[in-house]
Amino acid sequence: MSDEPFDKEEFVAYFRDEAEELLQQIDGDLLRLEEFVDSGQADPEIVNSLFRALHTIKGSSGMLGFTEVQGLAHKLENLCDLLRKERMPLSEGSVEILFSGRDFLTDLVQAAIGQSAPPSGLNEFTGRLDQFVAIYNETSNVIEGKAPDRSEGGNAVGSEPMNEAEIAAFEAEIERMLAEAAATAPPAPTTPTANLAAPAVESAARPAPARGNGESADAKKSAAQGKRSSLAQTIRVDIDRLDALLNLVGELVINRTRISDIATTLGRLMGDRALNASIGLIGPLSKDLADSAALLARTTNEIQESIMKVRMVPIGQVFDRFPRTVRDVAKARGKEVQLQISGADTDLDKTIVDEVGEPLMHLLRNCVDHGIEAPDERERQGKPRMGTIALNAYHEGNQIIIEISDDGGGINLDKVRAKAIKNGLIGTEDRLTDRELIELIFTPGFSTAEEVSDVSGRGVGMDVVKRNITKLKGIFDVDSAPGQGTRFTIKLPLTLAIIQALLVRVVDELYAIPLDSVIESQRVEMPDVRTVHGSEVITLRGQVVPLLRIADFFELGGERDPEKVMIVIVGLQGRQVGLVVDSFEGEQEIVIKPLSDVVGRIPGISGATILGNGSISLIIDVHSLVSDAYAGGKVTRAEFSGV
Amino acid sequence: MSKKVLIVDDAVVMRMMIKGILSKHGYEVVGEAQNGVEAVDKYKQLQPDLVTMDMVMPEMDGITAVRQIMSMDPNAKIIMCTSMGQQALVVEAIQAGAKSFITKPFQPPKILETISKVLA
Repeated sequence: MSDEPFDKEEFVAYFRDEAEELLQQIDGDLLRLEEFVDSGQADPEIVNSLFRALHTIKGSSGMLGFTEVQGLAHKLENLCDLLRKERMPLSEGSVEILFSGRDFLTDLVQAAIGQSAPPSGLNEFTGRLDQFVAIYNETSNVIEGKAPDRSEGGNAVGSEPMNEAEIAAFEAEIERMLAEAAATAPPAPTTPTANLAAPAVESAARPAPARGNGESADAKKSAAQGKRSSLAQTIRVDIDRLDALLNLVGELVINRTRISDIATTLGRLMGDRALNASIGLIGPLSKDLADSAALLARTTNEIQESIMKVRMVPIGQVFDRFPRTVRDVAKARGKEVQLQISGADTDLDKTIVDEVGEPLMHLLRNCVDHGIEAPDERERQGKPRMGTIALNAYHEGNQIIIEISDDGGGINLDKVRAKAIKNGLIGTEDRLTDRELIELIFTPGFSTAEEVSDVSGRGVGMDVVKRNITKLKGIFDVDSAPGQGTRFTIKLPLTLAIIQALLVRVVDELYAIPLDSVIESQRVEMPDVRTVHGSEVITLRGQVVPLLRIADFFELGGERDPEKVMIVIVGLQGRQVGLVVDSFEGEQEIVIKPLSDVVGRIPGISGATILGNGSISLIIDVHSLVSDAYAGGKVTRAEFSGV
Repeated sequence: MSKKVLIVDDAVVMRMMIKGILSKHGYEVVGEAQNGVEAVDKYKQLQPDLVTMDMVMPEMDGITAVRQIMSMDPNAKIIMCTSMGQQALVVEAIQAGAKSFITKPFQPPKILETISKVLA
């Protein structure tokens, strides 16, 4: 038999996905387990679930030769085994060490698949873990009056993951035990034809049936079963394959538009008298083409929708890790906080789900750190000692809304003001509305270095959160009521790949402007365009809007129309800019293609698209243009309010 | 005709690996199950010539699944996939009717050898 090596690479991706899922499950199990600490008695169902997850990680990592992962999983599995056999009481200490172990395990998995450096402090931790386990191991040995014995069943506590010699010894021991069993308990139970009801030996290592609070454990179990069976009906698909498919659909969409165009043109030609002679031929052909175009359009739409749905995943995938974060931060800060999650099954494009985790995490940390008051302080204010953070997601039209609200102290506007003055963001004389004050927390440089705590700080300010959300074409908003709490609202598009766009012509180029940021388009006579500090502005319903000439921005040259300008008003969160173009070319659904690395990042351009006639159009990055028009020093806020 | 195999393991990596090894060597993997309950159902449905059975799984562990399968089909050929330290469980599984066992992390030659012995 050939001694072929495994093609391990092939399995690493599966391992990663599986490990991620299991680590998430472990986190959930630990959070539930923690609730039992007061009773000192673990719910056996939870401990078993933990044990199995660790066991699976151990097995899979062992097959792939990730010995460090395997080793730690093994040690943690042993600890769970002690809990399971009730040799170790469930305590804050044991849960804490399992939590840390889970974190180290996560880091080791990342390191094993080459996504990060190995975690530091691992040796100290395993030392601590070994010591911790040793105490109970000895105690239990004393109680039972014997040395640790592998043949006792279950996992031999303290044994290291295996090498070949050990495996051989292990297998030899089984053979010996089997021989022993055969000798003492005839008839030989291994006879293939015999259907012997095996003696019901209760093994301690077998998943113990739920004890005690039988009803709730049963309920949990059936819930877990429900979850399992829904898992069984899904398959994992490489996101690259979906992207490839989507790309193809994109081509179809383009072609659909093109065929429709041809059909229309043909239809028009039929009305042409000069072509009268050939009409007999063109007529039916044109009708065929029109029908076929209509059919293609319908099918394409359906495929497009289906693919979009395939890419949709429940946002709960991201939410899963939040209870742990909130718990950790609350603990570190001496606060009592409960996190209520709803709408975890709301679907969202996978790409967005992946990107939205960090900003949400940051907001939650912020709520615990700055929003929720200390328990004593809450009591003084007549609030329950335990603060509540609600995380809610739901669909609204073509968007998903994610709300994070807390019942804490709200944003202290006096503090914001003082800090903004201190950091030089506003002058002492500036009069800002409450709204504008709140907006200040999104300004880069508002979070200062001294505020960077290990909890919500991490050197990331609200400005970064806002930028990340905006990058996803999302809108980020905040409401706050003093003494009552703060609510962050995030609105995200369901997908980023296909959007409605307004096509405009500038010099000889066609540009696409995402329709969701277009407020209106209009023609303005030159006398209505004023110049403030060298920048062109118009007044629109009492509001001053700076103009940005696309031709100048992209240095396209071209002649300026001395009489009028065509303007597309785009806006982002109350800030508006008028983009000056040559003409409007109508609306169209476009498939966004990212610019390749070869081209690199171009300021003001977020991607490209192929139009129905096969020509390429660049997509305007409205966000960067609006920021540029304001932050670029052309027009400042103060000048604005003064005009 | 190639022998039909049912792979039972809650770890997808394990299933993929065993499947890879067996398919390459002329076995037909007719089904996979990720817990004991599925294993019993699929055994009934697929009537495989051989089952590889993990021990530690959610819903129903491997030994219970062995018992249930053996009570349906006394001629069932089941091989346990075991980890170190599970001696007592392996013995119990074999007493319940499993034909043999392999120890994780296993090498391809070992698993093939065990299977051909059991099927002989």
